[in-house]
Amino acid sequence: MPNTETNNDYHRDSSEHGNNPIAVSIQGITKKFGNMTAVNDVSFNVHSGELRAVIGPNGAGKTTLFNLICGNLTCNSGKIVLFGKDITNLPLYRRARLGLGRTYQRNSIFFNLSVAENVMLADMSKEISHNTFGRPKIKSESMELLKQFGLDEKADKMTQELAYGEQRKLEIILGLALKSKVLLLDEPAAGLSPEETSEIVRLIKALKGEKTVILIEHDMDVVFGVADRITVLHHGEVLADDSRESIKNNPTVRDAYFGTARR
Amino acid sequence: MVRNFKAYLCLLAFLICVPVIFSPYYTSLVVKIMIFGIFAMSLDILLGYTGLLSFGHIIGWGIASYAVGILTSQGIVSNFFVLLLIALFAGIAFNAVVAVLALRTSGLYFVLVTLALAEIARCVAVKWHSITGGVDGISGITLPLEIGETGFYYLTFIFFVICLCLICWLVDSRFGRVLMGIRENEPRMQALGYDTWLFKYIAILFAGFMASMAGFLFCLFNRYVGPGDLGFGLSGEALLMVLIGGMGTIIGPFIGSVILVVLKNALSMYTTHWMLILGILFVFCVKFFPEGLVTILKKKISR
Amino acid sequence: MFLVQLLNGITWSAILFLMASGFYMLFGLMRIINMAHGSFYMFAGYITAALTLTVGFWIGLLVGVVSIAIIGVLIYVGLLKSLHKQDLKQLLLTFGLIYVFLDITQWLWHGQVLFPFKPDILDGSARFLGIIYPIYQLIIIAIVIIIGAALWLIQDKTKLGAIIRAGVDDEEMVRGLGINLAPIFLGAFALGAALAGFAGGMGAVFTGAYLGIDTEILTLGLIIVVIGGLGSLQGAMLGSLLIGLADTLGKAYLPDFASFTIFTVMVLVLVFRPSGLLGKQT
Repeated sequence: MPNTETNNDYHRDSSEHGNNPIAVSIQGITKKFGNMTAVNDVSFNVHSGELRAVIGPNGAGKTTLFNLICGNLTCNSGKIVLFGKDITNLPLYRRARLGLGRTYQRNSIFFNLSVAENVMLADMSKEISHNTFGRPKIKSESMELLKQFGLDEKADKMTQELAYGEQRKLEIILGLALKSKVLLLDEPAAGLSPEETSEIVRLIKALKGEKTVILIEHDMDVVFGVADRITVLHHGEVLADDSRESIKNNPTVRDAYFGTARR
Repeated sequence: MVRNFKAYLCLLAFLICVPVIFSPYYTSLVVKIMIFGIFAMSLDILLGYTGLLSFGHIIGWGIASYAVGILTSQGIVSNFFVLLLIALFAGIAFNAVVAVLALRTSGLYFVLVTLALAEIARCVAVKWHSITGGVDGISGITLPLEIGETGFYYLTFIFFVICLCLICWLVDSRFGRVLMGIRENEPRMQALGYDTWLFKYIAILFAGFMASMAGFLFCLFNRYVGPGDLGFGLSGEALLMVLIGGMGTIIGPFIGSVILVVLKNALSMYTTHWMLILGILFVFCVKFFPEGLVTILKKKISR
Repeated sequence: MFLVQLLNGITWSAILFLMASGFYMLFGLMRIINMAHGSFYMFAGYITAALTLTVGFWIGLLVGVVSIAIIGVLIYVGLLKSLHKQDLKQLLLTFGLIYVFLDITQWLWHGQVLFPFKPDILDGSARFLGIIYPIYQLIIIAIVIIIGAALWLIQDKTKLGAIIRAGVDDEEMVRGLGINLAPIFLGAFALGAALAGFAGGMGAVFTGAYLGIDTEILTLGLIIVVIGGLGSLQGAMLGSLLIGLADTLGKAYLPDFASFTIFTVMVLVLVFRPSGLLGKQT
């Protein structure tokens, strides 16, 4: 599928964020594993304050894309630019320090520490270089966050003792507590009940405008409820990249999802 | 503050009285327990708190010991404090180099690389016999301080208290929390913005500093240093102390030291097969009591 | 003569490859790091050496190899099987076994240094390319090349090899396909141990069997798997060649810096290719 994305397209951008500076610019990134190409020449730009959903059938390369953006994997070619700074060759932790936050599809929390200790690690991160040897404390804003998610009473409980849904919420909290300017959410609603899912949706909506969010989601209600623009991946390539309405009505996208499209 | 603060004070009070209560034979046994306690606690910084199993930890002990042996036997240094400083510096310096190499790897490879590096150091100690005394080591080392046996006991005690305080502080500090975070989930720590390599490096230097202290003391206590101070035997005993006592607990490694030193001392009167017993204990502990005594007791008490 | 030293290096590489391939079997299939592998070498070496005097080299070698295989199986079944996939615990457990073996070996042979005698058929020398070289060493090289080729073939070309490679990555699926992995694991452990025993029996002729060879050869083996990659047969071959040559040539031409040649090789690999000689960057 030829990639039709160029910078010129944004003069015709119908989203409200089209005039904001570009937060994340993905330029022609490719990732190969041996003979298999997981991500092939993917390019798109996400403007500041925008909520971009990345969708596509299983195996389309969405999580690999996230891994490349965050630094878990290195690209074979291409460039990643964060607020104008080339981060393609920077290690994971530096990208995080520059404002790139993430939540994972499978919970990647600290199971043998308490809930409060989990959040404290996120709290301490920014100040650790000049406050290395003091006593750790949890910030009041983080306590607020725990309260928001209903976990404040369980602050001292061991994470492994929490229910799956609560652990998932902690996963999201860890992503939020860092106060990153750009947040990558990998299937945040995975494994959650409908009530919990609407909580997450409410939260994501509240982030819009202040933060730039890139979201991987399978639940189309969630996607069409919150996204400004949608990028569709298929077999590691960008199939379509457009506003919410256009994607909804795009026949090629429907074919890809229902498997009638062929490479 | 640290939990069980009073318990630690009682322990220290008891230790202060030991030379008064016990005979010189048992007093020197307690000296040994304290020295190995320091070494085991330093190993636990890496194993229990940071999640790094380093067989190279013995390098700090061995290099500091050899520094003492070489400098005193050749008559180069006769001032106690200069000796201490050089020994600590040498131990840390070697750890600094070893850590750069070892941290190029992670996981199982890290364990193997540290083991290989320690063994290479031991081989060098054996080969370079003009300086190190080769297989025989250096004997007849004397303490450049006129303090006698009791004086040496209290010297060791002071070092022990310093190390205990360092560990207590570490557990409570942000730095310690970061190490524990690295142990639990290093990739997530990086995603949270932590330069985990740097923290691991500092942890190794910190632990190496304490191990050097222990090696310094043991060399003067034993009046001898040899390739065994860089060998598997000592590495294994320290590791077992941490395992038996409980990883990631403050006092666990010390308890492990008590058990192992007393056991070795008691058994040595009846059998020459200490290594067999050590090995069996090791296997038994890993299979049936991997958590260690202190952790098991803590769990029982909190029920 | 350089050619002689080169052949000595290749012989040593061959012995080391036997050790490394044993590691590869145990790790590649079961993720077991066997720290007692060097102890297997030592123990088999002692048995072979001790029996050479009474029943001859060949029977001594056979008894040595079989004993270690049996001991290995007992260790696996009795201690390691229940710790399946717990890498660190298995490593620590086998580490503890080093002391057990060391003590028993000392008990049985009182710390002597023993050398098995070469069997008469292999006790001659061959002349070629202007040198005279012992046949024994050449035979070792030949045997190990055959073993290496056999392992490579099994891994790449046979159904068993495919099962093994699949079993590493996705055990549940292999079991789900109705393939019983238990006897395969058992067999693999026995084979890995036997390879170490074979290395010990044949290698002791020139290294000797002594207390301390266990940790020395373990270290060399571990360095090889670090630079070659734990789960790679080809890596083990390349690594063994590199380390064997570095060790032998180092001892021959720079005797005062013997350990440093190995150290240098390891440092170079760690600095320039931390994911191993054949490693892949992610």
